[in-house]
Amino acid sequence: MSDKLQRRLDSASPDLSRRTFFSRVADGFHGAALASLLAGDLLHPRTAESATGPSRAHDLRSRLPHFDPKAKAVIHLFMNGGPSQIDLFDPKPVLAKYSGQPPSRELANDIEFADQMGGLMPSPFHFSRHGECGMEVSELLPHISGHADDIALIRSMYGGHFNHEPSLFLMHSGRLVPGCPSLGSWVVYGLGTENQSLPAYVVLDDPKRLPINGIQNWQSGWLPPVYQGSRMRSEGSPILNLHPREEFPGPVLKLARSILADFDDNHRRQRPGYPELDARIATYELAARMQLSATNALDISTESAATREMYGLDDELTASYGKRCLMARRLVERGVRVVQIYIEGQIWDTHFNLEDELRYCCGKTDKPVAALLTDLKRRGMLESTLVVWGGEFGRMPLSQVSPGEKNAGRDHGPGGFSVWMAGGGIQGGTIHGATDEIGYKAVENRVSVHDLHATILHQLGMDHRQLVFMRNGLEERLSGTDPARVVKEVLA
Amino acid sequence: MCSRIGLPVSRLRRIALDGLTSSVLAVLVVRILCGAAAAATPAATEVLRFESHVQPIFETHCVACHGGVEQQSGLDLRTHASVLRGGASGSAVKPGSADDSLLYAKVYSGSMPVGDARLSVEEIELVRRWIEAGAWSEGEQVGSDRAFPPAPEVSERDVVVTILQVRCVLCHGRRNQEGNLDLRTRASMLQGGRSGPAIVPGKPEESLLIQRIAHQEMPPPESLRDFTVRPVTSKELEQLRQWVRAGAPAEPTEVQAVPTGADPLVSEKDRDFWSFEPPVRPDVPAVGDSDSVRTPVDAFLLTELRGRDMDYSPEASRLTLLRRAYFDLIGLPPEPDEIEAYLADHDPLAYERMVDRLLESNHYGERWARYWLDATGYSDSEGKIENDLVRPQSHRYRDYVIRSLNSDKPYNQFLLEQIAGDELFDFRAVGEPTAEQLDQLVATGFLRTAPDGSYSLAGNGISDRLNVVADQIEIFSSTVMGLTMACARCHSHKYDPIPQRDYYRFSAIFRTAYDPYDWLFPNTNIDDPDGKTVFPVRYLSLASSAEQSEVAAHNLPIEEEIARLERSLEKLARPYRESLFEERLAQLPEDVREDVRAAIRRSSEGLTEAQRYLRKRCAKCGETVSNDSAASNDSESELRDYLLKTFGPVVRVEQAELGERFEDFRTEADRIKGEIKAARQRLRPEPRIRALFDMGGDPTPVHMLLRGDHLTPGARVEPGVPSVLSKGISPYRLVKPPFSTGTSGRRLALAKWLVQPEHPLTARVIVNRIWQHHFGTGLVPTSGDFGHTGARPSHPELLDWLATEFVQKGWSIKSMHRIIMNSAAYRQSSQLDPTRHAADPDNVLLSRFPMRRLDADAIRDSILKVARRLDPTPFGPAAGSEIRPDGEVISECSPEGCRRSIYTLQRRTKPDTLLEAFDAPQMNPNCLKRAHSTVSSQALQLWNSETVRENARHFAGRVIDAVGEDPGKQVERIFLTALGRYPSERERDERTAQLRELAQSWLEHLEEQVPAEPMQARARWLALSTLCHSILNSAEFIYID
Repeated sequence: MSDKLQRRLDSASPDLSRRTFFSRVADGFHGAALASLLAGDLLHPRTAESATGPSRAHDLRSRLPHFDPKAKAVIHLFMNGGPSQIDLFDPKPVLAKYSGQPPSRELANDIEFADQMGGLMPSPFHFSRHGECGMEVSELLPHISGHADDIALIRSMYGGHFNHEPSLFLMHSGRLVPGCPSLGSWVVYGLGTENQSLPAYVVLDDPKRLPINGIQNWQSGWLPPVYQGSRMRSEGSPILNLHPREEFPGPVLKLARSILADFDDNHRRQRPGYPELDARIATYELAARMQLSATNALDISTESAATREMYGLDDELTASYGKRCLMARRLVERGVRVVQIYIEGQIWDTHFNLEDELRYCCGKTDKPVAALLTDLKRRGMLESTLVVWGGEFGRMPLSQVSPGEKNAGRDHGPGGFSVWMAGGGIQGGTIHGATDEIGYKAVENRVSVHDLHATILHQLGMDHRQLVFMRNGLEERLSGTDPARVVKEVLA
Repeated sequence: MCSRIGLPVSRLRRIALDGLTSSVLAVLVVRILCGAAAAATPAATEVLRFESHVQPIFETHCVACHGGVEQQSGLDLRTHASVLRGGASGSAVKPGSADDSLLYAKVYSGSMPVGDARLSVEEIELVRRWIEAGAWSEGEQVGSDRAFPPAPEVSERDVVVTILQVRCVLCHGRRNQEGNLDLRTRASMLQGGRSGPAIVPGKPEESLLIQRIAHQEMPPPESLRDFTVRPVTSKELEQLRQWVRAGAPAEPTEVQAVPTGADPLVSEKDRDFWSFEPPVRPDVPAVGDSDSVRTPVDAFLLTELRGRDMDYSPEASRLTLLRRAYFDLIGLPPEPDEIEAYLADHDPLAYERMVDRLLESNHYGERWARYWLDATGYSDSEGKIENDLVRPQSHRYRDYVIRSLNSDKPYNQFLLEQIAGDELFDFRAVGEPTAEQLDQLVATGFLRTAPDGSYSLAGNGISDRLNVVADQIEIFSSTVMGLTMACARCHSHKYDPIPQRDYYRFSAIFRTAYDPYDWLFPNTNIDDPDGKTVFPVRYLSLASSAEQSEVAAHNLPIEEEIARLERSLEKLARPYRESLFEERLAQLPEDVREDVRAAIRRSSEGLTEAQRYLRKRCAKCGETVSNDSAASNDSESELRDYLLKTFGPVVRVEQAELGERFEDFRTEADRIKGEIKAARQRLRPEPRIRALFDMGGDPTPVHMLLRGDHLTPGARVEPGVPSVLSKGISPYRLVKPPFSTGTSGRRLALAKWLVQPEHPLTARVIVNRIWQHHFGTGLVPTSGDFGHTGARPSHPELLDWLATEFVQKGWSIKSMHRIIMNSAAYRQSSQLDPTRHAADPDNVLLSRFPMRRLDADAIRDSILKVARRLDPTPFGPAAGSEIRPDGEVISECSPEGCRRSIYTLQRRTKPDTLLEAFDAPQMNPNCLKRAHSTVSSQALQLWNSETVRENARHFAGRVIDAVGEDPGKQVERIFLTALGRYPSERERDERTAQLRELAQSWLEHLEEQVPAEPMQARARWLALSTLCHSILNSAEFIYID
């Protein structure tokens, strides 16, 4: 028997001979036995196989990282649109002095709408110091600022493009162009997942609207599709076609399943040595199990009233985002590896009416995000869960109209912006890097998107240089051929 | 704890070296200390010197590429001075700061050296320490002033390529020369325009170019808005000044060409690689028993097998072969009557004749076009940007491919048309092109498949356009040449002998049509208020008159219907609008109320002066009530604005308001609007051709771009093909076609170079892919990479025999199908025999036929086919797609059924859910071999999707129609239709029994519901559809033996 075949069979039943395995599969609907067998095996990482060996199988079994991880899971709170660092995390009081003055040519050259240049614009919001570390945070984030000592704030992020689409691709996949695997796909490619009844990589998008680039944000690109992010909807059925529009009556369903089992079992018996047929049978069993597990995972009705209040579920403003934050905790609790939460369209894209719009964005998210941190912490999950907050870029220190006007807002600012992380081995109360005096460009300890990705992988126990995928004879990495370094300064 | 960390990285590392913690750093420390013991690392306090500490490292790892004959990226790492001078990417080393040194970043990240070799941790640390200490050499006094090499001078190339070309040539270039000014070259700047010379060498402040830019008059502010032209930065302005001050030196004519003698970048040894040498036709080996050799393919395969004491598997059953051949050639299962007829055909050549029949089927082209379209990255939308612009004419290229394959167009001709169809005749001079000529233009759609966001401001930068060209080149080289060239865009290829120079020479072939500085836009039309062609598009308004009248005839009744619907909508709206208008009018001061009403509602006659005046001013408001409003007069726009401001908001009634206000209106209006929308979608667009064509004239020169960045241009190059491909073939020879309207002939020369019979790659690459689509794996398993990193052919002689046979048979693809499918190899069983499997686990030797899962398109098409829901209409615009409320994307079907997957809209952002689940590729940019994943979302789609359940009910209905109510016959019919075989006795009995059980369960269910229709019959039909649903979900349905 070939190594490859042996491996595949091993992966199905480490303890049984192939013959026993098949005879056990024969009981019942695709064998309840098979399901538990597979699940049991899948739950335990096999020590022999490295995370990214050249001929590894592509599945979601839990795999050993390169080194001891600090975090088991990531929750990426993606703030689509580009939150304004100058108004939230990176105070620039000096802007008040230059208010309304025209920008330099360099600044002007970096603006998307070059005909809309209203001069430098100080933040209309007040900053104060929080926590023992005295981190300066805007008045718009009263809840998150309560976690200042849990947060490592990076003020020196920089992007690679001025527009949303390429910047989103960069933040998600490390490249400015579509078609490359997302960070989440890389993570589950490297680590698999701990719960085979749920997707490994879950995306909780806003029911109101998909983010820019839509489903491309969580696609697996040229990695096998098994690593793609699964959209779970926070309203209605969580996964597409998890349930049929109208289910067969109970007895019919039971019969229909047993007929399929008959078919497939006969088919497979007549074709020994094709393990993909076993895998296919297993996918039907997993799909059936998922009907229950995915529904349960997202069922927040069992949460206490206090918890629901903490996430803001009883307030119309915070309910939608709060629900997804709470779902994220439930998913991570059940072993999901990566959860990404999006927010409607790109509400952080505050070109105009920054004052009102930013209030709205923060109002929607501040309380739920803080609740998530509190909740993870009190359950002892924060230590092993890396929470990342940030958008695809920041914003300009300029207004697009005269800064005094009511509708003043800021254009995209990829040159310098803030991202924060918490939990998962991050040193709370840390502030890393700095932008220039007006908050336009990261100047001190600059952190690239690749550095951020490398740091996230590092906390999960992976070396970004070793996490490779062979494609067309080339070693592909999340960071491509660009240099990347782990931002060790923010680690505990 | 408050730890504001602002320490430079290098200092942190030093702390780590001093023994401070962090577990990972500790590992590093240990490794470094160990290294220190072994390699006599200098003491931490010692100031490192280039010659003793760093030079040996560079000698070992770097100077092969950065020193001597080859100085990649202009970097020479042999001497201290040359290291400090840096290369084309700027300085390599910044003394005192390793983190700001490119060289350190490269070695630290492992991106240099290329290949597997890396510097050791100890070596990297030495480099860091040397830089941090000041990057001193032996001769230097530590801490002394060092004369740094002067900043590089600004060249014409820098100025033109990085500053003017990206901003100014839109209005002062080839297409437009506003103010008679052309800013493309030094010479044209000196010549200047209407206002005089643009530059005065030596005198920047007297140069108009500098003045206009410095005063921010140029680029004009409106161009900033309209064309995303960015202002010139002060750094760039300073560069311009510097260049002019230095006398505006001309660019030295440094064209990096391939020398006629030995090429320093590509050695003769590089050319000694199997796929870079022409195929040599081998003799067909003699095999002992000639009975088992059905075609020469078998002779080659059996020789290998028998050499290992192995043999083919037995021949598969007739029905297995029938099903296999149907799916292989037409992508659909055989019909029951076709199965019966085939079984009744006892001619010894029945199989071969069946293959011939399938090759003649029009469905053949639909099946095999899919493979070609995968390879070429075909999509019906542009992608990249959120709104994912649809390509309205892309189907014409898809249809061209299908027709070409159906007619077995010789592959050399097929390539010639797709690469250079526009250069085969003078398309600008021809009045009405012939059908063949139109086809040749449509064929160039091959070079318009790459995702392209330039239809939007967000995706229209020079670098975005360069990415489009790069994607297209990648598609081209992987599809036609089996080479991945993309790496060479940024640096010379790491593994294959493709220097960066050759990448840009190759891209220069396309520059006459694909010019990032003179872009043809993907939009079908762009409104330009001045009527200037600043945004030329890539559509040719050419069509045969037959085609034009066909579209017009198709559209006429629809347009009439739309007009009728719009009239009825207007009629419906009028009373509602009037009542709302009266309401609004009541809000006006009483004094003007009647005047406004009169002005708006009555005809011009009989109005008072004031009323007439108001009527004119308020023409816009008037439209809302009266259809015979007077036209507005632009010269009085100021007054009009005033009045509109005053009355407009009060009295104007918007269409949307009617809907919000009157529910009964909304219901009816929505229905009519829906009909209008549906009718509009049935309209066929004006027939135009989405093409790639030579734009004539002088193309922008092509420079090598260091690191692929258009802001760091290197030497200029001329069009050419990879230097490594020169053995045994004629070189790329540029001959300008003698057309009156001008075309460069660059792509025609490329096409002719490629279709030489002896070309090392062209025939091999395509026969290998044909093989791959029949056997699942190519003779070269990496069908898109025949280079060094690709796999070697499993049967090199067979590959060469097929390649030469292909050419001898007139590049006929169908002849290849016959040779392959009529072979004994193809006719083997897929049953896995333990002995054979042990000896040939990956089936490289083809000791059996590989069982395979159907691809996405075949799965969807087969479901439709067995359900009799497949609309066989060929060609034409794609069937649209709809997104169901739950997010499922399905293609729109008509009463005639649903069209084959190849005819459904393939929009990048809205992939069909079922096709996507079964690995339909994303086309970023193309796909030479589809993945076959096995994931639970496939089970969810097939088992739960309403579309599949609906088709199962159709399937059951058609079965009852065909064979009546006899359960045994029904089961037999289902097997025959879906699985292409008869059920065994046992299967028939078991399924019949299950059918009875299902019917009983359904009946019990229906008895609870008490439906109006007869329950018994309905229960039997539902039972049958449940059985059909299980069959559609079965492995046997989607796997091919």
